[in-house]
Amino acid sequence: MDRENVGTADAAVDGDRDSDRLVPPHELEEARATLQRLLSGLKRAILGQEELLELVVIALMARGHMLLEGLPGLGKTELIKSLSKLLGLDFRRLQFTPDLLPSDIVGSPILEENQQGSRSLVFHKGPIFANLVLADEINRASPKTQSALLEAMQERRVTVLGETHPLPLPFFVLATQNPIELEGTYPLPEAQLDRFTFKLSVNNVSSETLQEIITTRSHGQPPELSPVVSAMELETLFDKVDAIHLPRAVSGYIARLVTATHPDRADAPETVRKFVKFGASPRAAIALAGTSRAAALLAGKPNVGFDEVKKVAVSVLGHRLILDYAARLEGWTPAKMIQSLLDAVPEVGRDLPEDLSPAS
Amino acid sequence: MGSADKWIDQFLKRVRIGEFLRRAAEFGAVFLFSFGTIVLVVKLLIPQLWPHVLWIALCAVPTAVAAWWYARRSWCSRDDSVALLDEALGTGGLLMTLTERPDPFWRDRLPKLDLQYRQALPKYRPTRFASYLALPLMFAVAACFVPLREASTAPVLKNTAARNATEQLEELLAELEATTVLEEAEEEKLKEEIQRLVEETEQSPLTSEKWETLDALRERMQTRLTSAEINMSKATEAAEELRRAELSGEKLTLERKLLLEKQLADALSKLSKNGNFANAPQGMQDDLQKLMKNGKLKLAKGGAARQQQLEQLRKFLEEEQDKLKEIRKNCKACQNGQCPNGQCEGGQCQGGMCQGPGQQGSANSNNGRPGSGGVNRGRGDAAMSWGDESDQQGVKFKESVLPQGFREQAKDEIDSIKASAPDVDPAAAAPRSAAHDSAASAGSTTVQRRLSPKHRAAVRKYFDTSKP
Repeated sequence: MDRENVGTADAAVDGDRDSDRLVPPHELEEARATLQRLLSGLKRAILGQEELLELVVIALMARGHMLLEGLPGLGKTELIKSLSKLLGLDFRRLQFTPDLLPSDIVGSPILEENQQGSRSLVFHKGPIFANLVLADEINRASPKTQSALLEAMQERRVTVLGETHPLPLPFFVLATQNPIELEGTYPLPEAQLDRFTFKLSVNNVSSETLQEIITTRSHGQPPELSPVVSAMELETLFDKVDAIHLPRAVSGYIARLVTATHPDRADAPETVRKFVKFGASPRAAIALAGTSRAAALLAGKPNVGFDEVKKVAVSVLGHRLILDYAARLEGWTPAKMIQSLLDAVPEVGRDLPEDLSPAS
Repeated sequence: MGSADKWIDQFLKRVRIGEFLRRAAEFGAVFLFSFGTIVLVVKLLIPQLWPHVLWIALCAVPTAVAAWWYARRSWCSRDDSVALLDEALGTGGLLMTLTERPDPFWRDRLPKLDLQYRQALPKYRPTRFASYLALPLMFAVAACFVPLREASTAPVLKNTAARNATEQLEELLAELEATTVLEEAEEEKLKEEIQRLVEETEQSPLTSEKWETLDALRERMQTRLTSAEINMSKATEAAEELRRAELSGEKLTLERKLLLEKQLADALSKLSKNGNFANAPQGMQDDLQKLMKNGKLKLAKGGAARQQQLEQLRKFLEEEQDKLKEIRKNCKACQNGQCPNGQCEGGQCQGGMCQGPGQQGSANSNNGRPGSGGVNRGRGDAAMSWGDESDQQGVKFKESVLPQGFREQAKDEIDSIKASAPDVDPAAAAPRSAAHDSAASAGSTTVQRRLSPKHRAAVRKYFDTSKP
């Protein structure tokens, strides 16, 4: 469909209902092209992790925070650094250590003398005042310090000594943590985990990818990256994500999926009732809907389908389920549980009657 | 949406029909099963309601309406059917989106071919519906073909056994009256006794005493019948022998001749006394009266007249004998487990005897298994069979070997030697315990012996010198 046709069609659409209309195909294509640029830039930096990179872009488009978990040396920090370079946003890196204090993150008021000679407490912003904050090894800081991120992640602002300071938008917290070497670490509290839209596992790469890394990267240095998405374009992309339509049947599926994670619900599958201690929160449903919209945009669709929900479900819900100890004994992981949930919960609220056979 | 709307409506229609079919199968199965059960109950228990019960089949209509109503309650919504069709078409939610937000740009992205929509429509599965209804339908149809139970019109009477038994006795008595086997006085007495028995058994059941009375009466009448048969047989044989002797000219000894005539006379006398001559042909009655003139048999001296008399007598006696045989044959009370007509009540006739539950017969003929049933075939004539001996486990009183009944080997040990004879009182010395006993021995020694308790009294008695 070319521009002229679009113009004609646009004229046909009632002006008052602009907000109700779907994203036109050409706009969707533009947005998709921008995202593909970002994605290909990431692929240049991080080799052999296509699926992970797609999920990172989806989380970014959903304006969500990300927690990357993986063994050391898999490129978690590099991935976030590359992302910051490609986006051209203000980027700060925080290395979380046990002696890190909240004021080291959010900043603190300092007594200063002004030109008139009077002294007053002046708030000095901490490194959290950036668009992209890398919280490296987040679980090495004490819970007190970790809690400094709670308000910032949810409300995009910080309050110090009763004074609230808004954070620059967009604001993303991209954290990493190591699943081993747990001595001297503090597991993230559930409230904080729930604020991460995605928890992504960074897995090992194949031998072919390793060979390519060895061949193309001297001393493991990634290629030089330049910004491919401007702040304006990013804002437009966010608008496009918001314009992606979420059909009622799909929102019903999301609601049923999240409800089914609660073991006390009658419609929860047997495995959930047996192995899950606490299910996902409404925030999870909101995150699932938002990331599904972003996934649809990345797929070039004007609407969310069941496939997009399934694509992001493990990353959104996995870290929000609290499994029973019995689940660990039986070898159940959150990802496996979510997969079984996806198998158990039907996409449409009702099945075809038994007297009808589905189309082949 | 245009064409898509048409297919959405068609999809929705199919889904709703499918929902109705599901409900209809469930309701239909319940209805058919209930219908079959009602028909079965009517046919077996209330046959007078057949075939009116078939009107219940009209309830199929309200059943179908109820199924439709229930299906409507959980009707598939249009949103759901759009989602199902979207899934079947594989449009990734676009169809759902366009039904909620019509958009001319994206409408063109929907499948345009009717074939694609047609292929996405669900197919009906009549086999599922049929398999759900097949069994209840078969049951209902089979129930309609179950034969109607015939209600017995004959009222169930009390004391049927007693009534049958007394009726048999009355029948036998009536038969015997016809042949005048019985004397008039005895006949009256039997009638009275049977009547009393009938009255007694009208309200109360047969007791063992009444059965004995009944058996005694039957036995008495049978004895009379048997006696009459024997007399008649003897008389017939006597008449035949006398006739043959006359015919062949054989000379019978006087004693034999008198004996035969006496037998003939006795039989005729008894018949005459009982009035049986009345049964003879008119011409013969006069002859018989003449023959039995004064109570004695007066046959012609010889020749053709004697032969003719004897021939007439033989025929008359044979007829009387046949009548008695006929009575015995028809007498149910005289059968004693026999089945001369080849018919038995509640059993089978084998070898002239009734076999089966409650029928008399030889125990050995009952499949060779004595003691296998019947009122008079209990364990009495059955062979004894022995099982394994029971084990000792759990037995209250276990067998145990008692100690030997004689005293232990004496262990003679010298306790002490005194200068004089020891002063020992055996009775006092015998302790109550079974430890040991000390008793005086010969001379000046005291010997200790161990005694079993059971022998202690005997020893004490033996050594007791206080009694003479």
